[in-house]
Amino acid sequence: MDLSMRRLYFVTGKGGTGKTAVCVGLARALARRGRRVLLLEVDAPRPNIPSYFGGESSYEPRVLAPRIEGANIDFYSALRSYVESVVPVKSIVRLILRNKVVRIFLSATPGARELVVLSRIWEHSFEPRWDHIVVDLPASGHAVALFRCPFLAQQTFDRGPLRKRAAEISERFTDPEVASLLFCALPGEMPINETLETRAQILRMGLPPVGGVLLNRYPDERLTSGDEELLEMLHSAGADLPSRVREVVEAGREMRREQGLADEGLERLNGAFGAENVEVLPLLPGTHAQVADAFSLMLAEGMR
Amino acid sequence: MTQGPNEAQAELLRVIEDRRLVVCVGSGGVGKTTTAAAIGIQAAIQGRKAIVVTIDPARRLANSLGLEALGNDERAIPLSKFTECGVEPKGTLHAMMLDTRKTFDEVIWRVSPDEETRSKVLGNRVYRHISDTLSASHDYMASEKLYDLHTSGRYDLVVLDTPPMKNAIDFLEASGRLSRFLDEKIVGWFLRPHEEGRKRGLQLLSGTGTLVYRLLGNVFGNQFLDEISEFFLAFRDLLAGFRERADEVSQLLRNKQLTRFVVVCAPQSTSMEEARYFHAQLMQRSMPGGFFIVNQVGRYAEAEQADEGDGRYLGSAEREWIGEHLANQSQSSIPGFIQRLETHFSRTVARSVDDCRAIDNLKSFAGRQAKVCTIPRLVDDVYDFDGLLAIDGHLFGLEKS
Repeated sequence: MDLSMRRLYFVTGKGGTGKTAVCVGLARALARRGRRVLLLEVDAPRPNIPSYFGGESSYEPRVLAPRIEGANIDFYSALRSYVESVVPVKSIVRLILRNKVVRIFLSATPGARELVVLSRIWEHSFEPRWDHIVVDLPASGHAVALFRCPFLAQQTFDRGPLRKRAAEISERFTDPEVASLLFCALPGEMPINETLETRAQILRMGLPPVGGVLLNRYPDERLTSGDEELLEMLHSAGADLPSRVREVVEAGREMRREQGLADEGLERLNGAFGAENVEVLPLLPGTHAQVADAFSLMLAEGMR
Repeated sequence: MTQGPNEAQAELLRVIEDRRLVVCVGSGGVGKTTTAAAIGIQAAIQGRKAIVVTIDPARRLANSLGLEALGNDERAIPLSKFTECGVEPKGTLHAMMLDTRKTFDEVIWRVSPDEETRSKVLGNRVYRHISDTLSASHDYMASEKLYDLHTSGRYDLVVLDTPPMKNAIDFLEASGRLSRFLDEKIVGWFLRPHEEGRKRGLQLLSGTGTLVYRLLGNVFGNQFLDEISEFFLAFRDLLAGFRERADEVSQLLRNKQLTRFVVVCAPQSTSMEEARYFHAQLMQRSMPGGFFIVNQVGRYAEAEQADEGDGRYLGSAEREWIGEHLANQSQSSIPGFIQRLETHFSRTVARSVDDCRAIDNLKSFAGRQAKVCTIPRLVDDVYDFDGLLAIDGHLFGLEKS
């Protein structure tokens, strides 16, 4: 997959699928190809991205590595940006934001949070100082809720600036020349089910365009089919197996089983997304930062 | 398989015997839902009237319990599910998945003083959107449902599965947030002074309040504010009931006699970090935590290399044994086979050793008071009853029959 073709990459997936490592890997890959990248987290109470680069997270983009900047779009800062973009007078902006009632009203009004955060991504998407924006979205269910917000807002508000902004966000994020949604998946049966369910939900909404899927932690230590036969012969010796041999054989059979599941999962993803839109990332040792680095080499390979 | 329950396992058994609420929290992809189901099953076996509730939008619990689907209604897990696996439960097990919209509608039905209030709320467009899919109302409704189940008398133990980490914190805070949100003074701010016959039946504010409100109108659109005001107005009569429940849920979550939080995690560093973070959050809120369940733990940490100084797992005698045992096979392929197996095995062992280290670190972080249960890593996803019983074996240190 060539992941350098779109300006805006949204990345989602079930929790624990390695979204953040993939986002960091993608940003590093693009930077390797000389592109300038903005790497975003969305309203993360504890931003993860800084742990890959060192340093703190901030709302205003901050340099993380050569050609890579990062930011965490927290709700209150995004709200300030939004209010500032609509109200030109600074003192009035302060008055609005400092009002206790307004804060409580907004933090408890479902949907306000999502729309304001999306609005900030939308603003960034026009800034010429970056070639690409990679967005580390929340887990799949909440990512769907996030993208449903512009639609809900347009239904709810007959007029007013919020409706206008929602329409603008929809238009920008639906454009297949601009935006692409990537999924992170793991090889197990249930994670694949969920990936396919979320994909179907997103396709029904039509926002954002579905790009592809990265199958993470794919076991790549291959035993041959001959090996499998030998393993089964040993296994059938049962109680006669010397204990250490039994352990090694058990672990080997587990690996075969894991490979089998992973291959089934891969096949299902190929069927749904098309094989050209599926990227396989192997199960790798090392820290999360090392894993992300290894991803970046693999992903850069596919970029023209 | 096991030599009776260890300290953590014994404590978990006491928890399901005498608490009224077990809340499973943790990051995504660590088997939280499966763990919640396994805890519910054991509680039923031990004689409780238990219900497992998932508020995770993903529909995994049904699969785990062998049900076609789960809905907002409480469904009984058939006795046959237990007996087929050779278990006789002394209690009962139900399961449900939280449907935000339906729960919200139920709440409106319950707390509305009259038909007029009810239809005003149910017909409000802001209400309809709020009650639908948005995550924040998910949290409110989770506490509502929890309250409902807890006080219904139908169950003596609720096992609650929560969405992944970030939202689990929203969930913990939801009842407090709801109280604040629904504070009558604040709502009054939006509604005062209420005069029939003015625009949309309410005139909003005076003085500085009017200014802020007008500015909000410029920013968010007057339509939005009008709808929200209408929503509040319609809700005005329901406030007292809502607040009362929000407070009670908040107290229930902090009650050490009734509630226990269980942090579910995996040995990977990111999951462990989140588990610590969550533990700290619980402590900070005086919520009864200090219990960890570590899933997906490698089983080969104890494996030792053959004592032949060549760094290999199999000694020459063992390799010979394999060669003899596979005597009918083409002998040339066997050394390569053994080598591939050993290479794989050494990586597996290394991962298991890392897992153990991660668990030791967690223990020293959480202190002596904290309890840690582990569940070994399984290749296949667990989605049958037998598999859940096997997990119970690890959680409670019981022999699986």
